[in-house]
Amino acid sequence: MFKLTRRRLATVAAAAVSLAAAPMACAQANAPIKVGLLTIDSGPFAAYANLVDQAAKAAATILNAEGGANGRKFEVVVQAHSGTPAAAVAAATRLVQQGGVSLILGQTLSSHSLALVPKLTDLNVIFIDHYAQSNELMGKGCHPNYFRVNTPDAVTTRLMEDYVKASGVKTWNMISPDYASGHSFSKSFQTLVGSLGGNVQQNLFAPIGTSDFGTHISQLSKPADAIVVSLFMSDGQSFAKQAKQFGLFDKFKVVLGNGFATDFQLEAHGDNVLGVVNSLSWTPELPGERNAKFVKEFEQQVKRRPFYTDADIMVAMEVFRAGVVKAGSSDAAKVRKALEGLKVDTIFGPGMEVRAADHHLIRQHGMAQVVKGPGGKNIFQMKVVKPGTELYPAPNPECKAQQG
Amino acid sequence: MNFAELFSVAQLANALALASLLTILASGLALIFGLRDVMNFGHGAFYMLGAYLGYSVGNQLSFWAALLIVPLLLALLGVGFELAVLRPLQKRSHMDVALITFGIALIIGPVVHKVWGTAPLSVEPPQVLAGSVNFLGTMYPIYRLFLIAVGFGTCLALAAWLKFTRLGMHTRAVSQQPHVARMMGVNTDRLSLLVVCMGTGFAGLAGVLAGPYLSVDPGMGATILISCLIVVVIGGLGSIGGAITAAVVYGFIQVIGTVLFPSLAVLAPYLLLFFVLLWRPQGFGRGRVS
Repeated sequence: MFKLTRRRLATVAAAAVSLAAAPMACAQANAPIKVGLLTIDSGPFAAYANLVDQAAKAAATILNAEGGANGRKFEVVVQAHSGTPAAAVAAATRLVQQGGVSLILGQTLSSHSLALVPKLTDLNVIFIDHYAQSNELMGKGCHPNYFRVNTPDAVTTRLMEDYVKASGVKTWNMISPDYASGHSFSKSFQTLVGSLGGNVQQNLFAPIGTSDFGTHISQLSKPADAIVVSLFMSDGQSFAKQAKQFGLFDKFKVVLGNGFATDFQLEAHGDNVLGVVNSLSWTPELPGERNAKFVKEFEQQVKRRPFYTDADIMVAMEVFRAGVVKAGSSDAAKVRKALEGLKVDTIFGPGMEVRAADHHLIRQHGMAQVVKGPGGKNIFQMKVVKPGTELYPAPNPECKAQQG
Repeated sequence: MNFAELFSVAQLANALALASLLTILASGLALIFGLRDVMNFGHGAFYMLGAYLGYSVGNQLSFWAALLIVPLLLALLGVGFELAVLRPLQKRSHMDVALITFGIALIIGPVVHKVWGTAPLSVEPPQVLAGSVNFLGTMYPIYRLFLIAVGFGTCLALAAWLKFTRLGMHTRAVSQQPHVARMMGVNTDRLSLLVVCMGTGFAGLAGVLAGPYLSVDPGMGATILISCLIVVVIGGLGSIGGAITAAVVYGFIQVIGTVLFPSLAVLAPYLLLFFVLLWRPQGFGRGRVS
């Protein structure tokens, strides 16, 4: 006869617990990897929040169709905020603490990224930036959990160097947004022009959300050989329209743009940016089988042509997936270690290196001019595309991205 | 600091262009406040709606048609605003009504996003107003000169209407002594309906004019409302003449701030508000609808 002893009872209980826990562990191993997406719902960046949302969801769908990471699917969790650095930090904290995300992406302006970076240790999350351009994030602003796949200002100015040299232009006027990225770009560009024996005569900054640029344009109209405009989103659009009314660009031999005449705004800009030479880090026409596949699948899903911003988000997720696969986990510390020096196959090309010293993806960058296309529509004509190995500065010794 | 830059024709005209847009908007706001005693926080949203309607009507017909049709459409909206919101709530506290007008702005915003999307829309000036012209020795955009003319012309017409017409006299009377005016036989309800329609119509006119001047985007209403409120408060609550003076001062302060103290330019209007309220708490004006 079966006798229920204390030992037997303990054995049965242990077996029951194991049986119950097994599916849970299994479920955890297959649990989706949550990707937190920060979007801005007010101000000049709000108008393009939906592009970021579409791109992140499309990238997740494409990667999930390829099997996700170690059998786990990606799930995008969106958190909108008002657009200030404090709001970005609060939104990121919510994503981690309530949303349980392992990765943060999104509309992070340089000031947002610089505010978020010091919080990454406490949040224990990986942040792959595809938005902020400030050089400070390659130096003092580095963090072990911070990675960047888009092109920083230093890379854009390095790219412009050859163009500026070839143009023979000596005197410049420039306008940038009055926040971290604008000041960072302005500083880099002034250094570049100075090193070539030229100078920046008018160096203006416009607050985010400026609607009337008349006063700035009147100041920029002062004689110079060339002008560089680094205004983004709806600010850039307003500036372009008003500049056309003032006939501003006609006064210069060269008009350079940084984030100004972008591909996602090209239609809205109309002829206001015709002739502008702008940095453009990616186009759907760039070679590569994986790039072509991305373009095709993106167009099928989102029903529009992908922009460079969409490509940057896709690459951020490809890099993260590679880190998770190598680490065998989505734990921040393990992924961070796995990513350092990792060579990742991305839509930008095979074996793209995540530089261990500063956690930057060494990627291509290019310049393109807005010209009239065959159908009368404005298009970008690529002037130059250079590999990252020719553009990225040596790691900044102040950057403490690597731990031990 | 470049003081000479301040006195260039282009910068003076820039200040007047901004001031002219603000005078149209602030006059509408001051009219409604003067007669209805309501600070209409929905005014920025009416202006934004006017700009979007101006975009659509301009694309379908022409800019000139938009300049005529949109203020009328907004005036029609004003009928609803008066009959459904302001009149039934006229006995409620200022705060209640102000909050409801704020709520109207919150409703109009998402409706505009839904209909026109969130991306900024570009409105080009009509061919005859495109490009620049030699203005006192400086090449200056024709559209901005047109805006200055229309803006100040509208305000002068409004001032003349208030001063020289019977309805204008009634408006001044009701805004200063509503009970006495009623006893003297002025139909305040009918007058109020007319003035609210004029106020919202002015918002529509400003919206259409803003299209080719600035850009049509979802944030435009909130941005201009703050400037407009500063102008109305500095001008003296409810004073049309004060609002016009305040708008011109505001325009010049913005230009001075941008040219001389670029990093403090965003603070300039708030500093102006602070100092004017310290110096003259009642504002520039001489009283309501003056």
